[in-house]
Amino acid sequence: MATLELVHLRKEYKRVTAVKDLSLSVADGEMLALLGESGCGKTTTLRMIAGFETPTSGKVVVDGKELGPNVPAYKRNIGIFFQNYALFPHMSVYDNVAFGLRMRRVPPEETRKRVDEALAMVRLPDLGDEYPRRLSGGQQQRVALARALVTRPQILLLDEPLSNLDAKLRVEMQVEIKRIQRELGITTIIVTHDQEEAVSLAHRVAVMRHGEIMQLGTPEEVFDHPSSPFVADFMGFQTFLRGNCQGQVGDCVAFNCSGKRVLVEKDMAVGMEAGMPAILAIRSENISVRPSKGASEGEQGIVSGVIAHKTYRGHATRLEVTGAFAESLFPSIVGRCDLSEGDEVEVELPADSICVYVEKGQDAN
Amino acid sequence: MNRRREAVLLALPATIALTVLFLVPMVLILAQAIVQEGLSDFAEFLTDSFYLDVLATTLRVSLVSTILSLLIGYPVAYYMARTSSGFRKVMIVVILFPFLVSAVVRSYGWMVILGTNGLLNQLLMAMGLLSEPAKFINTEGAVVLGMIHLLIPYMILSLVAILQGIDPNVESAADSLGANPFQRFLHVTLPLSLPGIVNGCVLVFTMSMTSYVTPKLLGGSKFRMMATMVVQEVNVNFDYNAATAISYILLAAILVVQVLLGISTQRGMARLGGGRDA
Repeated sequence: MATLELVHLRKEYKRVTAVKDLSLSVADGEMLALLGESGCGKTTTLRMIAGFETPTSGKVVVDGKELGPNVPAYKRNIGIFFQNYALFPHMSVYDNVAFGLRMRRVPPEETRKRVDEALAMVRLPDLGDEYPRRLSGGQQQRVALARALVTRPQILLLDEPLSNLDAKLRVEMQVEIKRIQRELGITTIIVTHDQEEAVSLAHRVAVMRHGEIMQLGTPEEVFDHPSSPFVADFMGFQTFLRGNCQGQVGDCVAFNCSGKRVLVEKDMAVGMEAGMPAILAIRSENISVRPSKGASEGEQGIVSGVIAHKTYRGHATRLEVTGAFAESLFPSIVGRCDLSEGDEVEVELPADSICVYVEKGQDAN
Repeated sequence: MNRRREAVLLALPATIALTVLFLVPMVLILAQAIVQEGLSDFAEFLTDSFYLDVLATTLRVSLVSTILSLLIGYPVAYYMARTSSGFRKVMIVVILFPFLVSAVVRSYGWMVILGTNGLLNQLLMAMGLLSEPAKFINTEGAVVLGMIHLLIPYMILSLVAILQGIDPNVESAADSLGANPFQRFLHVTLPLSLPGIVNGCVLVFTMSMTSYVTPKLLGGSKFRMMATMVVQEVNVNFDYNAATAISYILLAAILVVQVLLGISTQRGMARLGGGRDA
């Protein structure tokens, strides 16, 4: 297999710069996710690796060899899976998968053997004679995966592989893609806008915004310790409080948020000093809520407020609590929730899972 | 059921107009010809080398015009289907512009250019490439040229319509699977655009087979195609039955070519796509 390196990659179009100075390296057999909203440059990056777009500057290096403009897409050995599958509609499933081997002049006996293997790998051994339009979305996706893998590419690129599938099939294919990638040990880049997909599939996740990498780390790092309020927001943090650092108190650092004291464990607030303006980000499932007893206000990490909105979401109930801080709190309760709108509640903020950021100005989000 | 009745109602006016104005007269002239002279006009046409020559010329001019329109039009259509630049709009206007000018005017334009003392001859003589005027006008070549100019918009628009419908990712997929640009065209773009090719070819071929003005003005008085023969039989020889025979033979020739084209497309699409392995 192969390693992939992107060195100061940049892509400018007439009006916009899609990718600005992007550098990263992917180890042999690693699966890296490019995660970001549409327009963040993740797909452009993928297309530059595949050779469909020429970088304005910078390099794509595979196994130590630069793939420049003199190596067009068809001379690269890179498999790509398209969001809309892009199967050849005029060819049978078998011919779709065999295409890459025929273009590479693999002998017919070997072609047949490898196509059969590839179709068995994606668990579609009996559909060789069907045409793509007669297959379900999930089956088409498996064919596209087999087609991309049958040529044994050095690198596999997956462009939003699961976004066209319904929820049930998505989970199934997520498992399938992970299994195949780990089985083959193929170096893979997956592009997605779905944070859950990124953290559950990839070894490492690069969160992108405006053509730049905001954070690159393991799923746990990115999910639990986002490097900025933007990444936190993207990774599903919903409660953001403005505050002022008041310095260390025991094992914690204290913050004054809307006149109330919030404590954060020391190692979650590294580098914060008294007087610094800060943003505190808290994940909804880490906030606990209980009916107000009137006594515990003032206790460590507990504030009281009123439920302004309640939204039932099936697996959990999302609440909006106002009155505690200038900003609303958004706890989420898994399971039964007896609280209703207008109830006075006590809210507990966990000192060990609040992420703290230095506030850089009005729009430093 | 309601939908179907609506559809029938909507198609009714056009159906009535076509039946009354086209189908009925077609049947009437055929009936008249057969009642008056049996099939002798048909027999005469199909045995007389003069008439067969006219048919051969018509087929040759039409096929050459169609093939050249396809070869010239395809790259243009492909560019138009794939570009996102503003130049595309300019191209559409340029391509549609000839529709605003009648075939007569356009043929006169070519006469000005191709004539004995026309622009082309003057230019070539001024450049010293010719010592005396060459014969461009009143040749089969001039007719083909005029025909292509007249009909290529139909070809391009048919092709653009189908090429735009081909997912660019499908071509990119071929790239990533190791197909060079020629292989990609041969195995992916070409087979997927065959319906547009057939559509464009049928349009251009049919209009070329039945064209009157272009061969008349650019081919000269001795150049004969089927449509000019029909007019000659009606206006000069007053032989309506001969005109009927020529018209029906023309119609048959067009249908035969169209059917052949349709069959070969279906086969071609299947052949270019797949392959056989051991």
